[in-house]
Amino acid sequence: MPRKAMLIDLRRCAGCYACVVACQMQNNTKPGVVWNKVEPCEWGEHPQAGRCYLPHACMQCDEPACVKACPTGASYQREDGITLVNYEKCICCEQCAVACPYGARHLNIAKDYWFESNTASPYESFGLQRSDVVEKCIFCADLVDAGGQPACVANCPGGARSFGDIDDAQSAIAQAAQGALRVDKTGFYYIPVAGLDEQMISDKVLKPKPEPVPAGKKAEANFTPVIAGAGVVAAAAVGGGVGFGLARAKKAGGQDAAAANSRAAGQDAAAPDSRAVAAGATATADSAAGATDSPAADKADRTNNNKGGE
Amino acid sequence: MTDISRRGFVKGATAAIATGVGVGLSNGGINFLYPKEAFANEDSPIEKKYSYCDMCNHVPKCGIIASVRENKIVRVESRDKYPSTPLCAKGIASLQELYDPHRLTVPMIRTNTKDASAAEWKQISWDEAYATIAEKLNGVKQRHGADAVLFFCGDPKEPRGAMQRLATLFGSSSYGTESSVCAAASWMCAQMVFGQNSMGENPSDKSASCLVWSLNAAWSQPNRYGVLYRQKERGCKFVVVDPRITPTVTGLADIHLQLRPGSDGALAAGFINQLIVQDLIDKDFVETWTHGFEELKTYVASFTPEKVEEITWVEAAKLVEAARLIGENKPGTLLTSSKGGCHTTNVGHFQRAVFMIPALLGNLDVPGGLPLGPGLPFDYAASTKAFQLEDVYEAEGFQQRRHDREDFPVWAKYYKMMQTVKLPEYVEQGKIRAGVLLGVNSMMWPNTPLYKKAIRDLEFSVAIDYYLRPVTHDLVDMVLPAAMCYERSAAFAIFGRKIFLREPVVTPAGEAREDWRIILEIGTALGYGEQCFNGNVDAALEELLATTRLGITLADLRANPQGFEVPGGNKDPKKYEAGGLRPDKQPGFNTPTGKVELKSRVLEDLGFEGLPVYEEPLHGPLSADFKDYPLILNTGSRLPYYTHSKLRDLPWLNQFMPEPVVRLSPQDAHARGLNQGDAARVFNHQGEVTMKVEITNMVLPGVVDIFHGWQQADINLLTTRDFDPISGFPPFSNGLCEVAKV
Repeated sequence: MPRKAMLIDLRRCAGCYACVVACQMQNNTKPGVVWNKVEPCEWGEHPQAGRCYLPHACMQCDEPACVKACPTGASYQREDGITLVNYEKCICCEQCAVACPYGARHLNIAKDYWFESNTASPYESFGLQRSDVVEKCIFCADLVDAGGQPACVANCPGGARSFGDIDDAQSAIAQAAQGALRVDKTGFYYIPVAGLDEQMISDKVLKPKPEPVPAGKKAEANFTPVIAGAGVVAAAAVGGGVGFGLARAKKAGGQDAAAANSRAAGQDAAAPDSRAVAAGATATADSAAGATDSPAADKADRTNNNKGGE
Repeated sequence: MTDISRRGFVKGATAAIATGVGVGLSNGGINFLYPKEAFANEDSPIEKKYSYCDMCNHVPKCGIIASVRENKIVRVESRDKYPSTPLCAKGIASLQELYDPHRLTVPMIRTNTKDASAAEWKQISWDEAYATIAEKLNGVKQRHGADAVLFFCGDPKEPRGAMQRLATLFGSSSYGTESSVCAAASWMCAQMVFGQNSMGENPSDKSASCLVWSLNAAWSQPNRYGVLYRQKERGCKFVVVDPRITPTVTGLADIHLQLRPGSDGALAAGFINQLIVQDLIDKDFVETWTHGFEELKTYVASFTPEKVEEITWVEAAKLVEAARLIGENKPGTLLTSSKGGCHTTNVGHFQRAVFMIPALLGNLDVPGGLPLGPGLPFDYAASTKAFQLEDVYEAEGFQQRRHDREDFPVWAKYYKMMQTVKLPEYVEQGKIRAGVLLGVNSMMWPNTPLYKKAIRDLEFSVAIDYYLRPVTHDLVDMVLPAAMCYERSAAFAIFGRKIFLREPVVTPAGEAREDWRIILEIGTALGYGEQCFNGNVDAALEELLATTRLGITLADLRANPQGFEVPGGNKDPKKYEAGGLRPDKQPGFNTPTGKVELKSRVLEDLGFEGLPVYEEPLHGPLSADFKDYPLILNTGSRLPYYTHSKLRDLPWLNQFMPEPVVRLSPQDAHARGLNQGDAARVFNHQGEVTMKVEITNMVLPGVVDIFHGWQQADINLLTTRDFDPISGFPPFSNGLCEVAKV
């Protein structure tokens, strides 16, 4: 079964934000809605200081919590692993946003267009129109189905992003992902730069942003943590070496993509502790069901009072 | 406003999939709706048209495919099979700029006096505008001579050819550009060393190493970073000199020399000394093809790694190692920049030292090294000397009349454009009294208020721009609306021997006109109709092509939308041996001595030191004011989402930095009790601005990094007019300041 996945080689990331804007144009996102984020990561002190940029979006979980949380079936997962939103069914209850461990869901209640205009520019008139929905990165499923690449991949000036069927050993992404870190049980892979550790990746991709913690301690995530289990393909492949929500990709060690990877992974390899992320097991049925009777009033209220998206 | 019912997603699926740019159905999940009034016919076809981008305007001219429906662009894509691709954030946001509702779209004339704090405007016709311009400029010419009219081309740079031609036709030697504070200092240093403009060259598959001197390609041209990274993966070694930890440093640098801004000259001297001490130079090349080696050797000998560490803050061992890495991995190339390589009080010396490094290693014009030799006969702005009437300039003695000739004789020797940094003095002295100011911004010079006053004091000035910008346009008499990238043709994009023609993709907004057309129409109104092709841009471009004597026409370019490859060209290595680099076809380099000048004959003839000597910045750690302003002020570098003062209005871009930011190291921030996001005063003896604090590892402790061009926090209130005497460039990279919590 094909599994669509995204790999980002952080060494190639120019921190240029082209992927963010490419996504906003392609997907016609409304003012304030950002599916695809790029965040700086920093570590160390001069003269050992380091920094890089970390793009992240919907991680396209193996078992998406958002789908389980959705009371109407608007959020659903395709066989190729991509989770989509049927906007017609979305009642904007935001249970998916609550359930998502990555903060990847975005409320779109925008009524204005860019420049606070009440008229759509040609580029805003083109493509999918929607409002009063909760949305997220869909791996540009429409472009992909037409044989193309997601907008962020096609428009990455540094060539940092790869996209394709990670289960096809011959695919470019599967080749490139050798030795990469996988965000546990998701379709997202990273090749870090030297000095960037897994903790920092986790801190950035998980929501909300943890407060700075004293040296020697590690931040706690604010959702029910689940130990990455035997079912995790990637973890199994490396003998249980699961870090904080990150697992070495298949065939790890076959080719050392980044010396730092080994070091970073090695530090946490012995501690497949309670901080591994397995999105999909965190949302509760109660919270999802409990929200179904109120969204209309809730939505009307927000619509009157807000202009921006999220 | 269209009332969008999301229950009505119905239309357009087929069309969208067919074009590959819309949104298609995915397992029944995604549907469609187009607002009713957006297009006359929602099913009208989409045509794909080629263009190239003008958002940066440092000439990457990245390729664009525009999807056009009913004369409106609905999507842009990166152009495949094109030398400069894919697009960056700015390139994509060119679409948003095109449809920015705040664009200037009509000619306007000022209705109140310039004493008023804010200008008031009324719309006029183009004919009225041109008649007024002609009357005013001809009046100034009659009373004070043609040189009293400044013809200035800022951003965009694309109409430079037309503007210079107009200035010469009018008889004015006062043609200036923003290159008098950007890039051109580096070019002239390369000229002085090996007789040819250069900003370095990307490594090729044959390059074993690359020395990057203060270039952050990741942000100045992100797709170039992709090209460099591929060379890194292939095995090219990189040494990156930069005061900041940029993405280019993180991604490419095998060794990062993180120097104090402004100390480049000492680092370069130390680097050369190490090449000599470690016996890494190409002795045969040096002996045969260089001038002044022994004197250079003697001069740099005192720049030991320890002394260099003291001056530059670069660890001695790293310098030794970096010189070895570049010296042992040959052939190697060099990359420098229009910013980092230009904005210190020492640029006219230090940048020459940098260009000497590939020469000393024998890396000039060898495969994998720094290529030399004449390319196509176009200049930086895709124009030609003949089109710009430089023969007239010379024959009629413009050079002797230049206002800047005595202030900056070296600059004046190399460029037929004035060094504009002394504009306030020239206006004060009555030498310049009127201006045609295309893409001008008063914040581009150091100590902005002086330049504002100079522009305000002009008897008459007309600006040509995309937007009405009060920061400068409050100081002028008239503003004309220029058409944007997708709405115009000139100038060409030239990559190597390949020429691309840009055709307008859509018609201009409102009454906006292509800037080339505006300049040619001003010329026509001034009485040069025939020489300005009566405003016809195609005719001007045809003439421009004719002046190249390449035997090509616009029809040839139109027939080759994927680029017209001009046959021929000399790709032989070491062209200096066979006479391929000099106009007289003699062996050697196009310098006075015919050799690579390690000691510049041009500089000596004009009374300057010929060796690339290091001098401390006037405001720096060794100056008296350092105790009051103990932070090095480094301004003017690039961001990936703004170009200088441009593009602040575009929501797709200003989401990343919506307000002015001062970047400090954690050490410097904590020492001042500053936290992330605090409002802080940045100040020195000259001025003060308020900015938001960003604490980051990017900057070296002891240095602050500030992006320029903020109208509400113009950092050039703090930068000083300590011009490099050789190039005239201002020290945007090496001022002093202090930062304190508001």
